[in-house]
Amino acid sequence: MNEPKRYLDGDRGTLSARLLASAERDAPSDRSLQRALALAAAVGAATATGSAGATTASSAVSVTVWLKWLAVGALAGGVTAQIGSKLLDGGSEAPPAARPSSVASAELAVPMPPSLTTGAAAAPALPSASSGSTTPPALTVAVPSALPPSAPAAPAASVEVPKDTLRDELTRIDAAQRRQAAGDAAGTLAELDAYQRDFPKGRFQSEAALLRAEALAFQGKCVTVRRLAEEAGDGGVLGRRWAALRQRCP
Amino acid sequence: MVAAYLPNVWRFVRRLGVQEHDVDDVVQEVIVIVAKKLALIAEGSERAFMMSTAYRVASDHRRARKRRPEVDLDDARELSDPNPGPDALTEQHQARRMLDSVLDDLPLEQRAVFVLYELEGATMAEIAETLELAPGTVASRLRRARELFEARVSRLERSLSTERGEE
Repeated sequence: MNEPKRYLDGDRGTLSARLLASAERDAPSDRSLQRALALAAAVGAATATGSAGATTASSAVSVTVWLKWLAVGALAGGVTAQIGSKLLDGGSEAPPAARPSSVASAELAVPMPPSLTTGAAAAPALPSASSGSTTPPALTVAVPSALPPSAPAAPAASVEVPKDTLRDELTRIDAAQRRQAAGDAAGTLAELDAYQRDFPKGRFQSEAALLRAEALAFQGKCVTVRRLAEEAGDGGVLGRRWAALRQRCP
Repeated sequence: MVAAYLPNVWRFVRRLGVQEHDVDDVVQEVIVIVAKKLALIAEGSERAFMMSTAYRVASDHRRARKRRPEVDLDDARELSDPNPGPDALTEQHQARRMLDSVLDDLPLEQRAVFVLYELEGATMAEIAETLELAPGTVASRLRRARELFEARVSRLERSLSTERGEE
């Protein structure tokens, strides 16, 4: 397909480009993002629970996805707890921007199997891949009545990255994806280097590895792509894109 | 993977014309739908599925709440000022409001293609997959959307020039 030049790839001084550029930096607020992530964690886990009983192993939510939901849920759980305690303590104290949306308020009613306990010893038993079961572990929910804003994220599984880096991580990965979409392989790699430097134990390592491999394939560096593909194994939920890369770099 | 695309979904929904105070609701509805269908999403199609869902939810939402803000010429004046004030954040906010007003003149189906192409950097093939359209349809919608966008921005520039001439 013959693709026209994007406004943002041309003269950025035109009014058209300036208007569009203003939207480039538009992003959800911390509150929006955290609420969305909390909901994703809640309904993601709930869905996994439902799937386990109703579907076979082949159609169940993958363990990788489940773990990712769990990790995000763990980090967002503290925020959920804060929102919940605010609501339970009385909505009048919440600032206008904290108005619970129709769906966000539903998150409080959603059973949250992987919700957090505040004790480190309560690490959940991970689902067994061989059994095909994706039933999340049944954990008790211990919501502190008043969680101080600076309280560290409660531990869950082996995730140790503090929750306040989540937004920054997403911003980096998002930037890399946008560079890649624009066909800027060098820019993609630069963003990924920055991500790796800032978040050596980041939660989006598998996505970062895939983006890196795709950018390298774009540059024709198949030796490194093959090595990365080997390290990625079947690639989990990203398997199809890894398979495509292996075809490009046999 | 789903979490990694949340900023994209948020931006897409916002630029499709969902009002700022409703964007969170729409995004959360998208999350619920995606979570329910997680097991059905083909590997490698997560982003396309999320954007496709976002388009449908935003479309329904817009139908439910038809509202169209007018272009604020005061905002436009400040944006075109060669010596803008110190508050760059305010300027960005105004520019976004103007952009939204211009985009409001595009039919939703053209607007979605335009936003995915110009702002999300999607290729036309990716847009075809996301919106389940024929490649030729994507091309014609994008062409028409760019024409409308240019016309609307030109009109805005003329209005600004006229105002400056009168001052």
